[in-house]
Amino acid sequence: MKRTWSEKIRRAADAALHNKSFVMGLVLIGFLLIIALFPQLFTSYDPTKLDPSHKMLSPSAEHLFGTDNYGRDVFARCIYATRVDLQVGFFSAIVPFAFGTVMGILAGYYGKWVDMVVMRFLDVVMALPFTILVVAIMAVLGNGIRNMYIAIWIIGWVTFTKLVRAEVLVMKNSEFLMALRISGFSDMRIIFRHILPNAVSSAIVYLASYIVMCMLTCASLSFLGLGVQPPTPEWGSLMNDGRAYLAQAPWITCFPGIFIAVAGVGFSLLGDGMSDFLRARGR
Amino acid sequence: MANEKEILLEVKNVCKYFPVKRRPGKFVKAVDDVSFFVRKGENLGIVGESGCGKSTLARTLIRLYEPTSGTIMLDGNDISGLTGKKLNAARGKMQMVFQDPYSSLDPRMTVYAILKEMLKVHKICPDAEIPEKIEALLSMTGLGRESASRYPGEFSGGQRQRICIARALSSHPEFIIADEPVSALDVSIQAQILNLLKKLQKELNLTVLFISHDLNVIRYISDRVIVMYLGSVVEEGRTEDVFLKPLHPYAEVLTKAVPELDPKVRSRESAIEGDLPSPIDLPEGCRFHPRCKYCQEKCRTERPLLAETDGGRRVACHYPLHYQESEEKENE
Repeated sequence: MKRTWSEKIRRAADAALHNKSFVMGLVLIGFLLIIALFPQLFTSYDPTKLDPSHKMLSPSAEHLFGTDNYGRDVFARCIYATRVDLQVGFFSAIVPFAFGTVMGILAGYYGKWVDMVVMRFLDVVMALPFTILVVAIMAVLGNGIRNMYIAIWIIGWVTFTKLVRAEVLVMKNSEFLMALRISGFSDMRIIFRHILPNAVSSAIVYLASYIVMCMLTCASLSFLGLGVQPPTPEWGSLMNDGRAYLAQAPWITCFPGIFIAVAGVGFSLLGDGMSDFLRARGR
Repeated sequence: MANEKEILLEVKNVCKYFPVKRRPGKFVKAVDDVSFFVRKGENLGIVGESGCGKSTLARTLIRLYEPTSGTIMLDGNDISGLTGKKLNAARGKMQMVFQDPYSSLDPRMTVYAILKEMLKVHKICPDAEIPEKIEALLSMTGLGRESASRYPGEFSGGQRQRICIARALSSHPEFIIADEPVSALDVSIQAQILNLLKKLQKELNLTVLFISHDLNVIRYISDRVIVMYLGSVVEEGRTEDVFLKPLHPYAEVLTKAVPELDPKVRSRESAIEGDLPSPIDLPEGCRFHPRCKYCQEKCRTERPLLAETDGGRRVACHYPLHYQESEEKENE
């Protein structure tokens, strides 16, 4: 009669595994995760070791993706960069996701002055383009990966807030919320047990594409020399390194680009699939 | 006799005005000075066309909306000023079934979880007895025990309304407000739900406030009926009396507007003319006068008050129908 947790998880997994794009995304991201966790399994080269005698070698059996202008193995650098990039995507997206969702629920549920204050902050942030604002904040804070996180955190929450607030507003005028309120439930119970699970699904879906966006932002910041500092390998900075040699050694730029594309497609598929089965349930 | 029964809910001069955003100082008078009472174990119907304030009244009674003024007495306690925990506790005694069974249940919770939450929050029974209690609630509302592990999305409209009723009953309420509980359902399902409500009312000695725009439904289920027009009560009386001998011209129009099944008998003669006036700029005098075919000079200037007539009926009309004849009969 009662549904146990294991049964719930089994049902959810069942729904997820029947979704093609979710499974494909899961495979791609899972593969990247394995690379990020165990890079030494995939390459024996040290990604930061300079070897001037073997610089700018084209791809071969020995150097799968060739070597760069300092003789470093491009394949090894791409592999080791995976950890950095996934970290960047995850850490810079998770904080805006959590904070933005909470703000969206508060603004939507309580309305009035709470909504006013949150929305005005949101307007200010939304008025400027994302990347330009990140660059501007980093110009104040200084270079480096930590400051990049802070810059993205300051700006990123607004989209989540907008999304969740809209969902909550729809719910607020529905019989669904009236039924909860006349059930004699406290505000906290209504918000966390009922509104949050129902409003968060669109935010989770957006989270997948937002991770991609953060990774690309990080890549472009590193490309500009603002984000990850050399010699740490990062896909964006790897592409930047190869820019000067695009004509002679295109592999330095192309292969990290392929990694970025794979990660982007993977997360997008994941988000696509999640939007199907997270929203389809119930209604 | 029915008259001697205890009064469970007493509503006195309740008003609910909504400010009009674009016109400061103006209000939508959705519920305007409504007073009535409901006896224990009774089924009181509220009928009126859409926009007359039926649902607003229901939501004000259960304190989803703050009443602009007036008092709401439930079992002798004034609940119009309660807040926070006291209000939540009072809500256990008073439950509501909504019109749309599709949107009033949490799609992410199983029926079991929905009922369990109610039982826990209102501390109805010890944790160990919860499964038993849920089974009892399900069988009471005509749902199989296997429905407990399913999600609301897996049920049909009628079954979902049964779940809503089970949820409403789970906190052991004395008083249930049913806000158009069958208007979203197929006609064939409507009867089942109405019979269920009737049965439960009898078995559990519930008091029900039943809101509907469907006169046939009201006639079937309610002992007494209140007819609302533009936020006010225009007539009140025993259901059969109101249906057979409406005193207010609006009640007459409503009862005659019930569609006939036989197309040969159908006519548009009794159809009401004109639109509902704006509840922001209410007509002067009697609110019904622009659409009333018996309208006279006094109706345009002076607002009739709800006054008691014979047989415990109340009517807000200067010239009630059938009234003269009954007076004449008395004189004879």
